Amino acid sequence: MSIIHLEHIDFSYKKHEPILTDVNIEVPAGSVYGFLGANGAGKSTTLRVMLGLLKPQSGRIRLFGQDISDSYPAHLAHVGSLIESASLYDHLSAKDHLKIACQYFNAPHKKINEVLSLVKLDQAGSKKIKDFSTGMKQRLGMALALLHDPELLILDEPTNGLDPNGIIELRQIIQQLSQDNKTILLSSHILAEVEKLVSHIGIIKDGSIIFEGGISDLQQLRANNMIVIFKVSDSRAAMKSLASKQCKRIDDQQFSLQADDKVEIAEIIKTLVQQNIEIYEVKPQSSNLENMFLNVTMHDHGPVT
Amino acid sequence: MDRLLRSISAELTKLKYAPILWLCLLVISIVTAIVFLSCYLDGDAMTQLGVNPWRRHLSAGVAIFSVFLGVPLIVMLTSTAIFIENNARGWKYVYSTPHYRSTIFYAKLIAILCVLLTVIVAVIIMNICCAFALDLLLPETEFRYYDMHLHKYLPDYLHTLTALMGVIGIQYFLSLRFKGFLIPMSIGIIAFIVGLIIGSMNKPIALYYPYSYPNIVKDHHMFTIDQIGVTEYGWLNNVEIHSIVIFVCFVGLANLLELRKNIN
Repeated sequence: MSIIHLEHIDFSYKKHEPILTDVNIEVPAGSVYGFLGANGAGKSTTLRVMLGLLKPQSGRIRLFGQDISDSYPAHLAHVGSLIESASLYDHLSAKDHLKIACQYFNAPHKKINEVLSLVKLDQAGSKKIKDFSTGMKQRLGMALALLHDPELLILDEPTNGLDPNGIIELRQIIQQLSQDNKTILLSSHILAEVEKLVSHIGIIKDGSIIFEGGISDLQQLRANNMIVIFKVSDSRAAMKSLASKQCKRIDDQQFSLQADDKVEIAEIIKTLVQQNIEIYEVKPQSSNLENMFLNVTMHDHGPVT
Repeated sequence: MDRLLRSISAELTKLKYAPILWLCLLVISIVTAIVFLSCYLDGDAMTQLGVNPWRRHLSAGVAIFSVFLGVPLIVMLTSTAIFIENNARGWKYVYSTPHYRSTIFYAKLIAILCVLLTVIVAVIIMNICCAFALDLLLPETEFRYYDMHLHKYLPDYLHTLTALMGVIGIQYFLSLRFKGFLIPMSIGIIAFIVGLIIGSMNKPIALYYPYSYPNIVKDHHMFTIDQIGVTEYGWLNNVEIHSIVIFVCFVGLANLLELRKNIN
């Protein structure tokens, strides 16, 4: 069962300036879904549409299997969200914020100390927000999202402003929540951090989803679209002999190109040898998510699922 | 109903320690100080043999509040209450809670009205305390020898509040339409000054200018002065009815726009 299901969502602030075009997203229950995209790709807009903060021009949004127009606003009792920076009032303390959240979500007040301790703010509960650091504000934002024990957690760039220790702690919290069978949608541009957490991935580019699937699907896609770096005696001559391929020169001896599979790499090597170009090294680019992400977003193929 | 009450409670918590509460205290203190000093320095006017001093004393408090401080307080109160939300970028959070946008919209409005009512009640209480203090300092004022008959003056406060409703509606609408507090506050203060001028001119145009309504209603109810054609319709008069209609129109429009608003 999918917890979030976006179907053919179009959104724009002004006519003829689409921000989201035919966005389709399906987040399975219990998954940690990484939502990736460059700045301005439409990640935050998509998350705001999911929460009903922005009204799409067309399309259908289902949360927990129900159309949000039918279940609004009751379904929001099961959603915790942190969109970009936390919404905090400078003149109030952390505990005041959590009391306000208790009133909105009808949550028991005993949860206040529990979530403060979870985000390691138990010593700062009475401190005013104006005296909080950016990292502390972000932790409090997490506490506000977790207070009512939501089934679905939507986190938009949650590590913004956190120091390395804070990022590790947040990662541990997310891992713990995913073990508790919560569904987590996590958008981030720090790809290395997402890589360690997610089970599913969606990639958005220019307001359109260009990839969606499990992390293994993305790895398969990468295997089929690998970037290979060649070190040769003369990169210009090599690129000339491979004119039909899209090569990118790195320096006098190195160039890179995209290959569909191993057979294609063997053919390229054969061509270079026939042209009397010496090959010193053939190296596939390292396989972390960042490279996969760049591979997918660099090429203008349509949605891949 | 439970959701509305929880939302109101949340809104009131947000106003806790907000600068506007200090402003409310200042307004209460100013009204009390003016009433006290005017009586203390002009005690002879208060001591008319056989005349109940409470009427003049309590009416003075209502008049000062409604004419000079009510509108500025509403302008500041509405602007600040909404600015707190804008400044915290809080709309995206409150509209992600399991409450209808209308519930949050009306909860904010009710919270503002609650603060205003509290200020009015505090003004009344402080005025009464002030009378007892005057009685100790100036025994010839003879407050102790007369009944307060507070119930006779409470309608004056209710009429004042009714006359202010139009301004509340307009200022609430403006505060929601503009992100900063400067524009709604500036419009409110300028409109208030114009209202004072129009109100003092005693011209019928004042009947159509909501910022002068507190002045007209004060003159009509407390001092029975009427040169511009105030007509009674049961408990309310035409100015108060105008004020309520303006309140309903602006609040309705603001709610409609809020329902359609995209939260960035």
